[in-house]
Amino acid sequence: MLTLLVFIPLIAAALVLFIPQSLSNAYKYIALVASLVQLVLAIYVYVSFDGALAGVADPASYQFVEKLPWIRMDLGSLGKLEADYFLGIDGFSMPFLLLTSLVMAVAVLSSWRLEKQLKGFFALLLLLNTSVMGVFTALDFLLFYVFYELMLLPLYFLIGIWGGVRREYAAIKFFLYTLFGSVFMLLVMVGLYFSVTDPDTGAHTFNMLHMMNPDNYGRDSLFSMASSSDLWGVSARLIAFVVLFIAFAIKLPIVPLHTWLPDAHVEAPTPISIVLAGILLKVGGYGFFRVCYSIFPDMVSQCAWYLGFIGVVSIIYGALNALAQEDLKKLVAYSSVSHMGFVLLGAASASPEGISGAMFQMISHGLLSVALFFLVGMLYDRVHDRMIYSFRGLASIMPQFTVMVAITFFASLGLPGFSAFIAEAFSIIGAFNSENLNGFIPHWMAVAGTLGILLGAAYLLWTLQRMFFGRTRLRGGLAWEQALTEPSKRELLAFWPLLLLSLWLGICPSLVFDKLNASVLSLVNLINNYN
Amino acid sequence: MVQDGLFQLGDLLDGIVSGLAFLQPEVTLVITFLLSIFSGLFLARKNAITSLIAVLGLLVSAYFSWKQLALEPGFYLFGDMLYLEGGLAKMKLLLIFAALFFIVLVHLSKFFTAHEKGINDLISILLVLLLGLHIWIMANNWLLVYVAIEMISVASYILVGYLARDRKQSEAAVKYVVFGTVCSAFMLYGMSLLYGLTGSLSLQNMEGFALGLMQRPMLALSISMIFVGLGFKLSFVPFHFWSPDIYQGAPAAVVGFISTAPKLAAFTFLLRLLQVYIAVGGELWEYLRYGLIVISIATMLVGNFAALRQQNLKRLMAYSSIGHTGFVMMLVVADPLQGYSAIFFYLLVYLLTNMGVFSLIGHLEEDHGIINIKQLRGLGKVHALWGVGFAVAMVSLTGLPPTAGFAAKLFIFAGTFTAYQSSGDLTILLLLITGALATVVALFFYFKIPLYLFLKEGNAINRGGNWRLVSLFSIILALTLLFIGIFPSFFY
Repeated sequence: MLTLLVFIPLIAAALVLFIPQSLSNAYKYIALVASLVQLVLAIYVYVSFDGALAGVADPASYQFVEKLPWIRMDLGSLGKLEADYFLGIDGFSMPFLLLTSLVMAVAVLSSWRLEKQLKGFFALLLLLNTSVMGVFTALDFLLFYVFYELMLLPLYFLIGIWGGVRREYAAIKFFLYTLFGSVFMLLVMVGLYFSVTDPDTGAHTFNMLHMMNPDNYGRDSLFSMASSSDLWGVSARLIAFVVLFIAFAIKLPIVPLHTWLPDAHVEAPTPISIVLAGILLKVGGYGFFRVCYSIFPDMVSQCAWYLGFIGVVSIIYGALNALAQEDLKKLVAYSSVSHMGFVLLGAASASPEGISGAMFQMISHGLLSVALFFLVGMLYDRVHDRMIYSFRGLASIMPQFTVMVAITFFASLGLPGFSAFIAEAFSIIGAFNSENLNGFIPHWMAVAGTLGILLGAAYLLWTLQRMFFGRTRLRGGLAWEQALTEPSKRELLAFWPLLLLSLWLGICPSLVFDKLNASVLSLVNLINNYN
Repeated sequence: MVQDGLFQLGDLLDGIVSGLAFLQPEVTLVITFLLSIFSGLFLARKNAITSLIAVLGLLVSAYFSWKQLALEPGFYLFGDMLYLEGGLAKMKLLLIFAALFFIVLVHLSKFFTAHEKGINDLISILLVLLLGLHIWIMANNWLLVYVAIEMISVASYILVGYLARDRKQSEAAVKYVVFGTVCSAFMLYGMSLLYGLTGSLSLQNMEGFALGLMQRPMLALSISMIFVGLGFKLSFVPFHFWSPDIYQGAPAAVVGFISTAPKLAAFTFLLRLLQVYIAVGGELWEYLRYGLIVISIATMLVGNFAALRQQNLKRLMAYSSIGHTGFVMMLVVADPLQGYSAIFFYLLVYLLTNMGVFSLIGHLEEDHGIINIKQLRGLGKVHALWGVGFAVAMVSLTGLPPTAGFAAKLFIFAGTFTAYQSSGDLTILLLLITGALATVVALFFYFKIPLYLFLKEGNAINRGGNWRLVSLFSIILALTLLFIGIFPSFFY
């Protein structure tokens, strides 16, 4: 099942490559069909997923598990190398499968009018799809890493070939930032590999679930909890936690490692912005829970204060930056930085509410940021401009579009009834509770987080006022007025499901929480064991 | 007395006779060499018979090497002149593969086939070079080492200068000869000092040191001098500066070969030498190790950072190969005792990728006059298959999954990490961190090529010519690299 989910796009990509250029219209249909099939499969997985099974560190309660031996090598004096093709999901990964397939479908729909080198574009987009799905399902660290890095290559080319004016700069910057984090992750991975043995075979293993069990660590291995070895006077496990945290935090992103994001977003074509904001940022958050928190639960209490602090800084700094932007896409990009700060704040609290809130925030932001970028893309498609000051009084030319923007803005500033409200509320409740519950993060961080919501309202509403209300004045004059048509059917089809889903989740958050709860509690327990 | 001598002679003869049986791959090479020379003398220059003889000879030699794979544990031949074990036979196979690859490339290269000298002499020289490499990796005696290295060097000088037409190429050849001879003179001097100190030319002549009988400064001097010669062959810092000039001036097929095969042999020899010195232990090993760790770090940094500024494709590859040298040295120094496997795998991948890339570069240079990265502008969009293959090769050289380069890097990291875990030596950790950083830097310059191929808008020139064959070649290369990357266990 998961294999299908991961490799359907790859098969579709191969299909795209083999269909001759003369049938280039078929590519988008192939891509769309692949995404829709994936979506159906993901819905099936969602429906049949048993929310009572926790997963996290317990191999037995993972679902849809597939395990095949992948690499078995005898390294002589190094012992046997063991890596598996090991897929499985728990509450932390399942929601992302659904989100990924949905966002990918929207991305294909939003690239409908693309004309430049379709073959390459759709093949790369589908390859990206495969690698993201792989990241969310892999339970073997080597496999996870392969998919994680594989994500970068298509994205580099997608931004670099189909992007805006400074696309080369943005593409390589994005690549370098992420790679910088992940090569050190590679070192930690190798370290973990040599610290952990498979209890069944006695060989070293990349199996992440074995890495979560302290009994599997070799007696005096580097990352063993018992040996507490240190490097330059700092505990090796702490260093590993921090290195992994930085690797994922670059993806999330956090201030001050966020500067690739505005560049990448501004230069990326709309479908890629959508994928970037909708899914790729979530890989960072997912990585925290799956890798940092689950493998190094004993380090959370030491680092929580710093994580929370970085989260708060990201929230405030992102929002303040968004306030100052004149480019609509940059504004949305900085709002992403701000919103992802809540993920970090919720995660740092290590309370059930906080972690649920963080997960919910990722899903909610996945839907809403995609909607926002989609709207920006609609505007840009029509007049090839997205500076806030180029538009004024759009409401009278495009009333329907204005309604869509207004609803999305209100949804993402946390209006009750939409998913973002639940997500931010839970994150902040978690942060508040933390001081009494486990003492990880102080009250003032929660207060500062709320300030972020306020700032969010400010920049979104101010933008709404500047662009849509007042007398119509456009930089492009009459030509623009004609070009700015109301949304087409295809655009409506891609847009409304996102918003309705956000509304639905806002009204019935239990749709997610029910599937998530067991896993969250189990992770919290894991952390509390060491507190 | 006479009786004693006769007995010794008898033992010696026995040793030679029994040893000969294990020299089949090398004897085959010698016979092939003679045949190829004669065929070159009596047949027309354009005749393909010579190459055919060479290919057949190489295949037979490969067959004999294949049979030696099972020889475990290793043993000495001819007294203790040569050493042979299964791991070395593996390296021999790789060397033969490189030579075969080279012959194919030469035949595809316009520069060589159209040249009035013909390629037959080149093939004969290649066989000598290969013989030298074979002897070098097995040599257990400093004199033999020197003979082998000189054989390789002289043959390489000829290969580099074979086609020299303009000043640049002649300059490259002359530079190579001058640097090469000076370095080998140093090496010879070092060896003679070592002989003077120990009274033996065997690699294992270090008993005297263990007993404290040697003067330390003299020993340090002699070993350092020997490493000058090795440094030249491996092009590690600070003996790397010749390689960009030579690479730029020599024909691409030749560079592809001399940037891989001799390095392969040099690493194998270095590994064996360090295995001896680690057994001697003590201060000698400590100093040598720290020296080599510093060299390894410096080589990684210099190679990768200097590559950032290169515009010429071949110079870029020259610095890239320096960077890779530093990377392999990481494992060689961290744990010489762990055998050939990880290093073999790395070198296999490096050889495949490098020779593949150089053949792509050769095609660009010979058919389209493209020598700079900037001239690649937009070319990948016109010749998509070719471009994709080229890009995958670059991804592999950077060491990103799911390519072979990643698997190779992973094994080097893994090996080095175990060395750290068992010794707890922080300098090894430093090696690992430098290796990781070097990868990030490497990404930047390797990706200049896909950047110009795909991201930059192209100009209309450079669109003619036959791309079908090279596209096929490049995509096969890419698929091979991907396959090795995803299923490394087949090749380990």
